[in-house]
Amino acid sequence: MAQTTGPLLLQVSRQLVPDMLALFEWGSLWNRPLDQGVAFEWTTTAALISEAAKVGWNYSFPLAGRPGLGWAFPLRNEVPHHNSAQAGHSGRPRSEMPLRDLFLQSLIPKALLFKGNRTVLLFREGCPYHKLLTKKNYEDRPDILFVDAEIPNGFPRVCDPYIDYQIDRNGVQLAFGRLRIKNSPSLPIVSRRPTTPVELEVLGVVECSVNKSIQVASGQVEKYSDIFQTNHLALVTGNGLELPHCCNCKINLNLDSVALLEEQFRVAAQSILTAFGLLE
Amino acid sequence: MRPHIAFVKADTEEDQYAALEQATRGTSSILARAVGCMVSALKSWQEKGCPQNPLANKQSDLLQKLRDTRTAELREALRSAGSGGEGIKTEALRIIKGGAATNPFMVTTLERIFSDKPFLQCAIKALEKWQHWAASNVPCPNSGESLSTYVLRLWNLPRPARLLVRRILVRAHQTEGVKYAQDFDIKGVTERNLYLKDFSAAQDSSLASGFESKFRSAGIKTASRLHEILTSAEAKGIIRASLTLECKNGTTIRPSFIYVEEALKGDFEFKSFDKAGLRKAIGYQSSFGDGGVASYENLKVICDRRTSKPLAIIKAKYFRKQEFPRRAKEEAYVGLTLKYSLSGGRFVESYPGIPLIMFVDMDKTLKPPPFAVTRLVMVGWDVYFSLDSLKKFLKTRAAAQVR
Repeated sequence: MAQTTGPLLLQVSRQLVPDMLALFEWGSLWNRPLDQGVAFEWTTTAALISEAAKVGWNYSFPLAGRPGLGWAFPLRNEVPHHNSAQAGHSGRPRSEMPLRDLFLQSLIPKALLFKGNRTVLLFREGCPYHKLLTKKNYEDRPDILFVDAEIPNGFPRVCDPYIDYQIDRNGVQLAFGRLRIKNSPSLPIVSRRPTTPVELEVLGVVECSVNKSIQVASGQVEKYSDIFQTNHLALVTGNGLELPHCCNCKINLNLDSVALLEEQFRVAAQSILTAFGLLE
Repeated sequence: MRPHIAFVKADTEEDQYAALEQATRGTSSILARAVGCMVSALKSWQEKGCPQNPLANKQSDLLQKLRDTRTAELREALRSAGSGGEGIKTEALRIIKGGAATNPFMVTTLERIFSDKPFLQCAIKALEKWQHWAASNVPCPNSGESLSTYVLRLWNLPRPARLLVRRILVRAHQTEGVKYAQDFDIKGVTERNLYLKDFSAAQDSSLASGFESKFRSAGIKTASRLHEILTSAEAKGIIRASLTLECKNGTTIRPSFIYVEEALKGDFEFKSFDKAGLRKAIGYQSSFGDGGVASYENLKVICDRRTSKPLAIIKAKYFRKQEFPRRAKEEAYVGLTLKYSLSGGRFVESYPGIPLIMFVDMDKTLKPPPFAVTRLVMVGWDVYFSLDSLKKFLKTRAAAQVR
């Protein structure tokens, strides 16, 4: 039977959002084994952007406006950190990139969607603003996260050895603060305003899974609902999983046709955007 | 507010500085008193014109004297360091992972390690026939048994199954790193006793309910599902990973010293300081103040079997390439403070005429950094890398003593 592969998903993603593929450095991402799931997650991301564009959302990639950071696009939106429970464990064991750039990229959403006065931020594998604003302590990193907020021009900005961030909503400042650029087991926060927790409006969380068991997937999704205080949950799977209270989207990974795969991802993206109220 | 509470709550540098300032103000808290005491000592030292500390000067002189007098020992150590090590630990790990053992000293060494570390032996056997091991050692849940009673029952399985099952219970629900036992925050539960001990009923139930809730949030909600996990390939992977980790971990497997003892025991006897009639292995820093100083561990006295006379004091340990300089630095302090003691304001040899030997077990091809070897020798260690040279040295000493 034919099997979908990373390179095939690369072709699908190119069909969906050609500029996302052209603008950034992807390294070996599309050649990694499919069961690692990264190519699957990025294809889902591309489908979501493409389908949003179809219904009138404009989109942009903020990292494209940061010269020299093209390599950082496929990285997680996660502030670099040490894992304190493992002696000698470095937070970035294989990374040769400057810590400053890793901090900077972690605070930059992968994509912005805007329509009229409204802006939606799309994050991949985490959202540092959520941790910073809500003061919640968790290690979970949802694959795709939509947030109703704006990041003002010029932010985040590096003021070595610090990095300053600000996040607004409806033109009003939600929070700003300063991180110290250092490898540390906890978030190296220098200061934050306000000092009390602030909720961040999460519009929806998408979990992508090529081959997770139902136990793992449902545990994850339940946790996301709790952490991000949202009922807008979606599961895109390659192995036919279904979870209650979730927008379930199945992708048949036994196809080798770019056109058929593209169609499946588009259908999945449409139902997710509908479930998250982003098709209005 | 008590200072430590303020620190726990402070998650920004701003709040931490504020908490520190509050804690150090006045004299009410321990921290304020400690800081106050330190600041006034520094001030009075400055007012006296920053006088030098006579004890520090004496230690510096002692080090200089050693540097001036130990050049021959240094030359010898650097020469033999170039020929590589015995590779004892590497060989032990190869055999633990299933390699064939032919060297009789290594066989007895491993027997001694296994008798002390039952998990290793048990894990190796279980991994050989995992399904069989799991089927005969992990009990099925009773009909209608709740997750919580099942977890508690598993936790309290008899040894040796307990050694494996507890490790799986601790890890199976965690996708990220494994918590330190201390982080369970249950009094009396430590990394050292977690997998083995018969805890009190209260400790057991706190542990079990902690695991139960972790399993639940990881989506494992029934006893039968947990049973599946415990007997799965995933659990096998956990045991394999634990075995690899515990083999590497220096505090778990220390074949080097045991092997040296086994290889030399035909002619020489390894005794405790007490049994060899030597004063306790306590560093000279014990004379600096009133605080108690524990004696150094993992040191033995090598005695001649025929005369029972002490020939040398020995420490043998594995030096990995990456850690060589750090270990050398640590052991340098041990060597210096053990070799000398402070008597009547002067540094004198603690064990006159008895050399202090550091047997460095390292990989056969390793060329250690010369500065690290120098550091060991220049504080008083006689450093050996080869068992043959050590044996030769001890025999010469023994013969000289008899004459």
